[in-house]
Amino acid sequence: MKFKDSHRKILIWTTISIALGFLPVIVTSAYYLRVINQIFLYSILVLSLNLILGYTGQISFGHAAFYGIGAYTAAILMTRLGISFWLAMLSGGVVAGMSGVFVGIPCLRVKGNYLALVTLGFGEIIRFIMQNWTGFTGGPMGITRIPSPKLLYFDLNDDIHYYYLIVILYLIVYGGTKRIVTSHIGRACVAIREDETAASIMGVNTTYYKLLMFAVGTFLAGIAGAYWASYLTVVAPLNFTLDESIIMVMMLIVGGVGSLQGSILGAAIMVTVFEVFRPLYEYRFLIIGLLLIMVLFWRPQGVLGKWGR
Amino acid sequence: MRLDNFILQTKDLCMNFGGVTALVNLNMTIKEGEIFGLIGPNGSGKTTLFNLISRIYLPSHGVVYYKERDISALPVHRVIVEGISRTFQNIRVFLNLSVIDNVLIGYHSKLRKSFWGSLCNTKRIRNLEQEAREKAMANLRFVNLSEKTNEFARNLSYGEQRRLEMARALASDPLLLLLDEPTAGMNPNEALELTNLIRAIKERGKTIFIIEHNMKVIMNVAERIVVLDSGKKIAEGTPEEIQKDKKVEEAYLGREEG
Amino acid sequence: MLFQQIVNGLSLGSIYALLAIGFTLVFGILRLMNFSHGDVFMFGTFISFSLLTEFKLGFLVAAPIALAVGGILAMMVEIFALRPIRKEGTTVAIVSALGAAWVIRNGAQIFWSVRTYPYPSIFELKFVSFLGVQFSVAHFLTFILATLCIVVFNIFLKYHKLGKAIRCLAQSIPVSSLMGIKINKTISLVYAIGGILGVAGGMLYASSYNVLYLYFGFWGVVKAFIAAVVGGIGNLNGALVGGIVLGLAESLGAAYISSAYRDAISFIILILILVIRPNGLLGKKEIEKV
Repeated sequence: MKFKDSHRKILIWTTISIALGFLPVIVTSAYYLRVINQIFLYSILVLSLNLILGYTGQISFGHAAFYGIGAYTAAILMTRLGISFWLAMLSGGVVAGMSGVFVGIPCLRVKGNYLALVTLGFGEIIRFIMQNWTGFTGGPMGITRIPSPKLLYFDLNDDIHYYYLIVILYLIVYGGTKRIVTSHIGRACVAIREDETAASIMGVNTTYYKLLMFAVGTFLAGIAGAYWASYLTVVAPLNFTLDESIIMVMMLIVGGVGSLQGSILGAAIMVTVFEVFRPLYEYRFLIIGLLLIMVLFWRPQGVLGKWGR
Repeated sequence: MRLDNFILQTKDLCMNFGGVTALVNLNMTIKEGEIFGLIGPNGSGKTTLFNLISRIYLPSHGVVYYKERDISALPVHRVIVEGISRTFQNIRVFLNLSVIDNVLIGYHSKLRKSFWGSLCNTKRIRNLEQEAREKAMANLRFVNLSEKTNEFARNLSYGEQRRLEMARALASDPLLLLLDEPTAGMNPNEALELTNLIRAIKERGKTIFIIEHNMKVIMNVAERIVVLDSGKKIAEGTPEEIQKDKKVEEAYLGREEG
Repeated sequence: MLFQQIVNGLSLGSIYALLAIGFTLVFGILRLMNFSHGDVFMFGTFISFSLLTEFKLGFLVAAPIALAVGGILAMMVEIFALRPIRKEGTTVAIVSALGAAWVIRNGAQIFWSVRTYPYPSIFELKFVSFLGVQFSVAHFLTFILATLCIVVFNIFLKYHKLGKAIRCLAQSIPVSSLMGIKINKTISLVYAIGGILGVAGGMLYASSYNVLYLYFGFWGVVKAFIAAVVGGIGNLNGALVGGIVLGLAESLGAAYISSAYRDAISFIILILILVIRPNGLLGKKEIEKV
């Protein structure tokens, strides 16, 4: 019996969907479920960063700020204006996306190491605002008592509900980024990453594509932020620090830039390592650091990365 | 082919980089449909001229006319839309894109694009992509690279990368093709194949502006030649005229001692 | 008051300049943002702290040991974390350096934990009246010492054989190799010098402000980078100018606006420079060769 490519694809997706669908039946511990939710959440974040850093080659060390903007926007809309989670999540994404474009514009002329610093700077400035604009953002304490999503009559406040939500979000985001990346947009972005001048001469409007990827990437980060705000019921500036941005970049590099599956792998590896070494809490950065150096020594392009020199 | 039709013209074109003068008062004209050569010792400003046409640099003084239009203010990515495409002195293919994706980038300006269409993978977009792929394959066949379609460009040999750059440059179906030292690093056989390719391109009605160091190639393929030395035009004419020109000889071989 | 702030600014600036040199050297030669630089000098400074307070060694004994530790640690980072991935591109290099930074910082945390320590002053905290204005002798002497280090280093670069080798590397690594310069050894030396100068800057900073804590290094390196960029990356005089400018801006800003804004001010300056004058105050415009 010959398996057509499309048939194989359908089979794989069906298997994955069933496995994911039944996962909460097998994994009953709330702790493990929460870790899995975190893995999917970070996978979305890493995918969104992959669009900006992986495919378009725009080094961003400020990604957590947009994650935070989405979280804060959703939090403020839900707690102060009583807006529903779904609308708040979308708004979080939109506001984060617009901020992304706003930050992206001065970044257009900057490259490489300098870009890393500029994005780092913007990230810190945004966190600074979160921490000090107490009237609006609640200052260092942040915003609390963020409600859970409501669907029809159901209040989705259990870990299982959040699990299904994040899995569905992840699948949508994965599908969307895959489409983008395999289209002319993906080509254009990789061309920009490889050789911006040559891409420009060959007709690629580099400004447009850079800003587009900034917009989409930060939009997705904002959506993830809104989810997290509701899950944690609290948003505070300490969740959106430079360390967070750095962790996201590390996940991306470990998984492999330019690989979409690499993004979930990188997220899974780092979240798992952090959790596994929780008993050795004091040493966890040491371990992660060593692990990172070892992985890069062995496979500098990342575990699933395909691009090399 | 209308011989009176100028496709490219420079008027008093000057280019300075800080203290270094790359081009001085360059006046030249290229007729539509001809193969026009540019030679000169290293550092004479040849690639600078190409970069001015590509709009990477803004001229310090003077104008570049393309089909009687002043293109000095054009954004870089719109030059190819006008019909000017090029290759580079140090090959600049996109190493981490496949061979066919490289050519598709060359075609990028001709694609009717839509973000939402691509996101939703509409039938219209799928058809446009398919069409684009077929055109790209045709270009690859023209340069004899159709067997390596899905190979990453970084895995190609030097000669193959040169041919890929050519296919990419041709993908947008340009009217004016700028070739910057296309035979660099090639052996005589490959260089001969390339000259045949260039003639075949001219047969398709394109104008070719070619920088070369390989004298055999340029004298063979060019119909008219301009010679630069230290940014100035020192000679212009047919290959025969250029070969007899004393100034050209001096420029290449150096002034006589004493 | 203004004069006091200016002296503070110059002192702070000269320390930033010291930190910036190590960073800018590596960047100038390898185009690599060595984010572990900060944690290396933090570690070295902590070593000096323990030597001074626990082992009660004099400063003249503790300092050279700490400087040596800084140099060696920097070289180890180069060999294990940075040399293997040298050809892989900017992002990987930054991330690997960050990994090394985490290892060092976590290692330091195990020995010294997350407390803030009072670092002893090298110079007595005395105030002197000059032209009717009070200014801190300690800060002034720090400025002198830092500037001295920079001058000595400049002389080394210009006249010593190894200094010249380093300058060759900054111009072109392949050509240097052809000229017989041992690339890997010289690069290791560059890192070692960066580590030594960094620890010097770290000790001066800690003694000026009597404070030492774990994250002192990371922020130091961010400031160092900003200083280097503001002055003009890869340009050693730029590191000096950039450091001074940054130090002055922070001191004056903190005094006249608010000390909470100190870090924000540095980033705003960074962004302004990168967008308006990307090659820094002393940098030359780089033309891309197509």
